[in-house]
Order: sequence, then structure tokens, then C-alpha cells
Amino acid sequence: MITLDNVSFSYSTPDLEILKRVNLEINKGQLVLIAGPTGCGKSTLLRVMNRLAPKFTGGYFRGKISVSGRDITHLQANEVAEIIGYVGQDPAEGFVTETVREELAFGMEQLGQNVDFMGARIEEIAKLVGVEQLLDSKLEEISGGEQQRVAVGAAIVGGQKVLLLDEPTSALDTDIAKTTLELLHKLSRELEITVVLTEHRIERVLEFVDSIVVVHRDGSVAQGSAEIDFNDPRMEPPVVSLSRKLNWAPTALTIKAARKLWETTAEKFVVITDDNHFARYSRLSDATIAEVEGLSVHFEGHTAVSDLNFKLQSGQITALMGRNGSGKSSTLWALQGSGPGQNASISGQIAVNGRHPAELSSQDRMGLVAMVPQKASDLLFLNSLGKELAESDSFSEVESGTTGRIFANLVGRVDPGIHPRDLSNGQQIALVLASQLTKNAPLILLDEPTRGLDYIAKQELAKALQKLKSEGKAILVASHDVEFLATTCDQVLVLEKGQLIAAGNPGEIFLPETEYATQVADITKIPGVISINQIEVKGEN
Amino acid sequence: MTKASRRVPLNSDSLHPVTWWALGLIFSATAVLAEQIYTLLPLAAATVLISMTLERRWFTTMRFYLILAALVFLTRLIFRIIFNFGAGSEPFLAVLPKLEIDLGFGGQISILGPVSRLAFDFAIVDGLRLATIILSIGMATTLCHPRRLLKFTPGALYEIAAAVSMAINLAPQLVTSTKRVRQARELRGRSGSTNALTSIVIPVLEDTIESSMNLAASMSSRGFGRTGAMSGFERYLVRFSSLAAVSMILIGTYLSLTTGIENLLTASSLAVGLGFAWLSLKLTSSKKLRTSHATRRLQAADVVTLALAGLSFTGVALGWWNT
Repeated sequence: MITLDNVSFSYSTPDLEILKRVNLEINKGQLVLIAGPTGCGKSTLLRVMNRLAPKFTGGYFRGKISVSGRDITHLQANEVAEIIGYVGQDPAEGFVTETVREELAFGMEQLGQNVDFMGARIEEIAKLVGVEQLLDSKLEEISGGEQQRVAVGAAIVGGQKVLLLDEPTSALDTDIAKTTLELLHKLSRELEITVVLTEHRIERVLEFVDSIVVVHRDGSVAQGSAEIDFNDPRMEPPVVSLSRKLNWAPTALTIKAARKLWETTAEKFVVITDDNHFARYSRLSDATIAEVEGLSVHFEGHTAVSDLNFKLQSGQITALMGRNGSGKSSTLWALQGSGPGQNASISGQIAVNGRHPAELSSQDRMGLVAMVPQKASDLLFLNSLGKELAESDSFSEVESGTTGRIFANLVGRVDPGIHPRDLSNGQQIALVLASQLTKNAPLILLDEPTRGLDYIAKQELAKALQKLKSEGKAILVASHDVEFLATTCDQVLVLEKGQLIAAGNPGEIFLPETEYATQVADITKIPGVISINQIEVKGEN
Repeated sequence: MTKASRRVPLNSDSLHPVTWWALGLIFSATAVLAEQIYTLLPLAAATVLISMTLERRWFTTMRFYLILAALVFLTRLIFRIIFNFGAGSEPFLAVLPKLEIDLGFGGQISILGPVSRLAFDFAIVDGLRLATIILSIGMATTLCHPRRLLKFTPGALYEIAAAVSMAINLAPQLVTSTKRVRQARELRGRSGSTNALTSIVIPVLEDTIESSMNLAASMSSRGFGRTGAMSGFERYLVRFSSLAAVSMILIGTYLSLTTGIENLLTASSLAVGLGFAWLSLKLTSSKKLRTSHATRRLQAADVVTLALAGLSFTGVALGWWNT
């Protein structure tokens, strides 16, 4: 279906190739995952395929691309639009019109298709992607998952046979991400649409895909199916790591396959489920850093958070979980003190080391709370790392070099001449965190820190958090990323519609067959078993 | 019209999108010609009132335009007080100390000094006029997002119209990303050596440019801007002639407001502009590049609304409601 023949691509100079001599053959009706570290060229590969690169993005292209035997090398994105549909990272940013119906019509109008059939075609596609009830709703008023489905519908409404998606589930919670992936799977099976998508959280996607394309840092690309060599064990999803650890052959790629293997071989393994396991990495201390009592946040017309009560302890990482819109961000901003927006009203008691952050100036607040917002780069505005570090020292009136030291302690030394935008996402988070920690704040808040992070950056982040934890900080992480949390956090709080519906250690929350189940939990079906290091092969220890 | 649809309360969907923008433009044109406070004030009030009654979430969009209008109005007044060249005749409202400044060229410049009643009144009318124009555009944007107009644009002007609508769209987008970045800045503050502008403007601009690029990529990958069977030469010809048409018509309109319609230059630039417009329409209409789903036609209500607005414009233009 899609053939890439010796394709090379570079942005700045022809010798700095981000894709190097790529040869790919993607078959009709397949669902293909493109994986690889951040900045390695996954998105570029997608954009090369639908010809946005290089005509739109700039850069140097060499090679040949064809779709169904038709050479599209010299065409532009809008000229291949009738065969290739494309959905960018933030579907809401790609919307052109106001309502769902108009958005679905837009593509057909641009392609000059017959008006008489449009109404029926819109209904048909809306039904297919499950937005038939929303046809006359405004695009900005529907949920993130619905927006994603409208974007998918709009990309295939013109009868496109290829669908490219850039990180379609990175902003979605577990349940909605799953529905979206099921939809893509249906499109590839029932309509024989070839679906190609990029994704960092491979574990989510693996059970749906037919083949995997791994883009390496050097620009080379490997394509494979079941026995794909990830080239780096850190990139493996838990199901694959478990297969290797337990010597399953062939390697299980889906939860279903792994569950079968587990059921037949379970007696060979020992599982550790006692509470001591969690106590082992959650050295419970009595020192309460933050105490929240009866916290409520109201916006005009709706309640974001109602009557929350919890405590955050020194040397503990707490996860704040819940679906999109369940009040996680509002809770963090209320706790930080500057509040979640001008028209929010906050009530209840918040005490961080006995003081209420909202009553302090932003400079004094830094002595109590450090926070990294969802988009860390919003806080970076100077043109070099060195200047950012110096600015932070001078704002917080600490000895020059303090921020730099904290930063290096978190992620190691980085060239101070580098532009902050060129830092990896993980390093950007560390930089913002370092600038927030100059006054040794005992409480750290992070809003969705693993969004868009690759496996290397996630490990960097986990390491940095462990370090801060060992220094006795209380850390609260709002996130959807179950696998990341299962290996890092000591306590989990679950929000639903602004209310705290569950709290406990990870083993109590990440239960099998719930939306917070880790892969290991779903495979073993033993409550309390959530990560690989809880499973040992008998006789080895 | 069926009985069921009659029960739907009036909202911004009740009229054709083009009607709202035509109404906004007629209001602005009326404001340009108006010379009296009692003409301008009702106009300004009408724009706000219409937005309020017809759009539930009017304030989110209109707030930006209200602030802008107020700023422009105040600036106009302050300028009149500071740069008070021909002091004007009595009665004076206030007599401020006069400052003579010699810039080393063009003689002496005097600022401040006596503020005459007449000059001040003139400044109020002028400021109010600018504010009313801003509010009229604000009303049109509130009731009908500029993107919706795209559908009704003739093929030849489509690409230009898209660029303009994206540009108008930039304002609300700037507002949302400024809000987000400012909240983030609450966390980090800034030292005395960094100015507020860089700390807000750089992240906001980056954000806005990035999202505009994403929108453009999305439009392009859905087929926007296809030129289909046109040859390279035809494509350039269409782009040139539609650009020329828009520029010449704009120049012509400007001249007709300044030097007057009877001027030869005015008439000829308008004629050339219309000529180019005809050429581009002719060139594109033969190629069926785009289609349009569920296009709405102007209805009786639209015509009545526009006629009423036209009446007020005529009233002002002929001086019945303007002396």
C-alpha cells in the first residue's frame, strides 16, 4: 500500500539526516505503530508520508514514495489528501469549522465531491466513529475523546484509504484511549484502511497493531512484527519484559496471549503480594508536609472539586489519578496557592508546613511549594540554559549557581549554551523543577509530567523523583500513566467528578480488570501484583 | 417555517452568517460618517446589546473588543489633551501649563496648554467613532466566527479570505494562550533584570505560531488550496489577479472616503479592481475545485435586518440623524 524507497530527510543541513535511507513496505489494511525515542523523527516520518514534509515544514528530501503503486514523491499534501488522511497531535488545533457536521463536510468540500451525497456520507461516518449524537454540537464544547473521534472521521470522510495519526492517545485517559484504539482497529479491519500511528506508550497500543516500525536515533528504521527487537530493553512494554523474564517463547505481545501463558505456567513462579513489598519502597514517615481539609473548587456554573481531604507525607510520592476533567489540575493549582484561574472560588483548609500558600507572595511561596505545570515550556523564555539558570538564581535571591546545582543533580550536566527549546521534554521538566526548588520547598506538585515523554525521559524523571523523595520531599503527581506510577508512587488518590473515590497503596488501587490495572495486574489477575519485580521464577532465589 | 422551529428562541443562528458581518460593516460605515455623540452612542450600545441577547457566551469574545474600544477611546482623549496644537477658542475646560519643546528641527512644539471645550468634544466624538467601529467588528465576530464566512467566499478569493480569517482568529487565540502563560508565570515570577514583555510575549508568540502552523497543516492535509487541473501559469494568474482585485478595491474605497468618489484616480482604481475581480472569477468558475455542503440562502429575516440597518446608514449619510 505505502512504499518508501530509500527515503532520507533532514531539516537543516543535508548531512544531519533525521531519517536515513528508509525502506518501508506497509500493507493494505494494516495497523502499524511507529515507535522510538523523542526527537528521533517519528512525526517527521508521518509528515513525509503525507507530503507535509518537506514542502510545508522545509528540509531536504531524497527518495521515492508511492501509495498503491502511484508515485506521490512530487505531490503536495493537499494533492494527496484524497488518498491519505492525517490527524495531528492536538486534534482541536486542526479544526477548521465550528460544528461537528461542518467539520466532517470540510474535507469533502475541499476535494470537490458531489454535494448530493454529502449529507448521507456525514451521517455514515459519524455513526462509524460514534459521534452521531453530536453532529450539531460545537467542536469546542465536546470532550477530548470525542474531538479525537471527530478528527478521525474528518480525515477519512473523503474515502481516504490511508490514515496517519500523530500520538492519537497521548492526552487521553486509559478508558478513552482504549476506545480510540478500538475504533482505529475497526477501521483497519472492516474498511481496510491502512492506519499508521506514532505512540510513546507502546504498551497501550501493542495488542492492536499488526506491525511495528522502530525509528532509531541515527535515523535508521527497523520494521518487524511479533519478534521485534526494541534494541533497548528500556523501551519494552511490561508485557514483553515479563515474557523475557519468565522465558516465554514465543514472546507474548498482547495481554490475552500473556494471560494464557501465565495460566498454564503460573505454578513455576512466586509472587510477592504482602504489604511489606509496598512498605519496602514507601518508608512511611509520620511527618505530614501538607494537609488538605474540605477543599472545594467552584467555577462559574460548575464544581471542579468538592470536599477533598488528604495528607501528603515527607518522603512519599503520591499519585493523583482520575479521568480527564475529574479535577486533578484544579486540585494542584489550589494546593500551589495561585489558584486554577481568576474566576475560580476555593474553599476549605490547606496547610503546607502549617502555612497557607495562597496567602504568600509568589516569591515566598517558593519556600513552600514547587510546581511544574502541564506545559513546562510555558515557564521558559530566555535563549540559553545558562541564562535561565541565572535568572532563576536572581529571582529567588539565592547564591548564584544554586539552580544549576539542583538541575545537574536531577539530570546531570548539560551544556549551558543550549537553547531551552532544544532540551528534551524530560530536561525541560527538570529545569522548571530546579528553578522551583531553589528555596528548598518541601512539597512538589507535577501536572501530567509524563505526557509526551519517551522511555528514556521517563526514567530520568523517575530517577529525579526518587532522589527528591530520599531528601524527604512530599511529591504529588497528577497523571494517567499507570505503568509509570506503578513503579514510582507510594500512595494513590483517585478522583471522580471532583470527589475522592479511592485512596490506598498502588497494590490496592491498580487492581486487575479495572481502568487502573497495570499490564502485570491484568495478566496475573492477582490483586496486589502490579509490577514485574513482584514476580520471581521459583528456585532462582 | 414549521411550528416547532418557531419556538426556538432568537440566537446567533437565526440569521445568515453573512448578514451578521454585513450588519457589522454597515454599523462601522455608519460610525465613520457619524458626527454626533447621540448617533454614535446608540450604535455602540446596539452592538453590545445585540451580542448580549443573541449569544449566550458573548462575554468571552466581546470582552477583548470592549477593552480594546475603551483603550482606544481613552488614548484619543489623552492625546487631545497632550498634543493640543491649535489651542482652539474659548470656552476652555481646563488651562494646563504650556510646555514648549525644541527638538532641534521643525521649530518649537508646544504640548499641554489650554484645552478648549470644542476640541475636547471633537476628541470624544472621534474616540467614540473608533470605539464603535471596533465594537461592530466585535459584534460580528461574536455572532459569527470569521471561519464560517469562508464557505460563502467566491472561489477566486478563497485563499485570501482564508488568510484573513486566520488573522482575525489570531486575536482570540492570543487571549487564551496569554491566560495560560500568565498562570504559569505565577509560579516562577521574574527577576528585576528581565522585563515582563519577554517573559510573557515569547512563550505566547511561540504558542500562537505553533498552533497556527498546526491548523495550516491540518487544512492542507485535508485538501485545502488544491489547484486541481490548473496549469502553473493559470495558478499564478489567478493569484495575481485576485490579489490585485482586493488591493485596488481597497485603495479605491480609501480614496473615495478621503478625496471623494468624483476624483479620476478613485474611479479608475475601483474600475481596475472590479476588472481583476471579474477576471479571477472567470478563471476559477470554469474549474470545479470545491463544493459546498448545505449552503444557506438569505431569508426574509436577513433581508429585513439588512434593510433596517441600511435605513439607519442612509439616515446618517443624508444627514437626517446626524446634525
